[in-house]
Amino acid sequence: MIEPNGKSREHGPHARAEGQLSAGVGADVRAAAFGDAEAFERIYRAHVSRVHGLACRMAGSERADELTQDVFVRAWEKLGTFRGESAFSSWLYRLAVNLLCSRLRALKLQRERETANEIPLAAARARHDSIEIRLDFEVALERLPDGAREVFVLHDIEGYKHREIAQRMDITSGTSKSQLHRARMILRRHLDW
Amino acid sequence: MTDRRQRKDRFRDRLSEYLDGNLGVEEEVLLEQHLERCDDCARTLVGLEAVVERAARLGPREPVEDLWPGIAARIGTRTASLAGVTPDTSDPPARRRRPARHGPPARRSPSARRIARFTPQLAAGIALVWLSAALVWTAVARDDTAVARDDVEGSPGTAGASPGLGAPSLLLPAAQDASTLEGGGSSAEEYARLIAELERVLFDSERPLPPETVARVRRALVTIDRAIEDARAALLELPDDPYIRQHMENTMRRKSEFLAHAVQLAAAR
Repeated sequence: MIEPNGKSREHGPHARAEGQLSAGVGADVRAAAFGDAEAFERIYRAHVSRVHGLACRMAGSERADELTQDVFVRAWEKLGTFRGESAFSSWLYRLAVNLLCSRLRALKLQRERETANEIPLAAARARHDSIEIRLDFEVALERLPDGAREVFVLHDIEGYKHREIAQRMDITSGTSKSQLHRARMILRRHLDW
Repeated sequence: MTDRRQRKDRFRDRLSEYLDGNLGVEEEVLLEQHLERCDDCARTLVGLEAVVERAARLGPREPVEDLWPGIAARIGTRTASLAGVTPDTSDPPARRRRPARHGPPARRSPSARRIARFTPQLAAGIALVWLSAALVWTAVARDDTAVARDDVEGSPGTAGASPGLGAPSLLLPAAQDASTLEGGGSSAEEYARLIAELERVLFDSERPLPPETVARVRRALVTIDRAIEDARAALLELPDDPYIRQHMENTMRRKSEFLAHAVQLAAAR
């Protein structure tokens, strides 16, 4: 898989899934661009788990289904602009990241949840949190304050550089770096590592 | 003392950048010298490395609900799931490709909203209905009318719904599950039984699912099973913790819902 920074990231479940599915993707993309909804459904099924994972981690699982649908609807609308100069998956995930970032900005979720998220984190600390949050890294991730969570997801999971994150999130690289450090420190504390 | 503290905080604040190789040479040397003296920062660095390493291992997350019907509706096609429903090809492709409606963000499909409202009891009940459908499917596939059992009389809605289907013993424990769940009994155990039955129906059928569907279902199950294993391990440490118990039950409920949905799709084939 080619990451947004141009580097190859051929490891992990994403790479395996893509390897298995890449053969028919080109034909499906071309067919879908001409309005073949069945081909587009195959594209959806090949990529939904990665897009949904991204949406869950960036926006929280309660909004993930809705945002995942938005990503694929947008992809359907924009398929005609895909020129095949990069891998289709890179194009799709870039589109997903852009949509998620702008949607989160538009909804002003960051500021709204900034304070709200501190409460569950504090409450979790008061209990034997090391055990309960170890249950699921994803749960701890969802409890991060919004700005920190998005930067963490884009940098540590999706492989974006601070410069690219700053551009997409309309923040400075310095803010991106400090949010990343903040997220990692919170996760480390709550996972008791 | 305050100076030392501030100095330590300054180094600590740069640990992530150090980890990512984003510090200049001079800063890097200074920080490494500090790490040799400061166990606290060295421990923090190890923790941060573990977080980064854990994040890199995060895999995709399959949605619990199939989102395709909602997308299909929004892009202006009535094409149904590849999982088995016949596609509607009445519209020419050019006409089917209409731009999505603008306006408010997409709402969840009605079935997704229903799932979100599920209580464990309701989930178990729905799973039973799906399980019944799957039984009809497997019984028909097996073409086996021989094994009629009489001991399902006390199981409302099952004996009457499946006369002569054979092997409704599968339903009996599940029906009991629903009642036990209502009473707030050991839900995790009941879900475990229900899950086992659903998996048996899904994977051990004589009318096998397409390999790619099975692979997709199994991939999703790996993720869910990992969460269940984590919860189980935590429960061993703190068996009386209501939060962990609830988490365990919720995870198992999700698995049973997912399986029941897969069974339903399989039965519709």
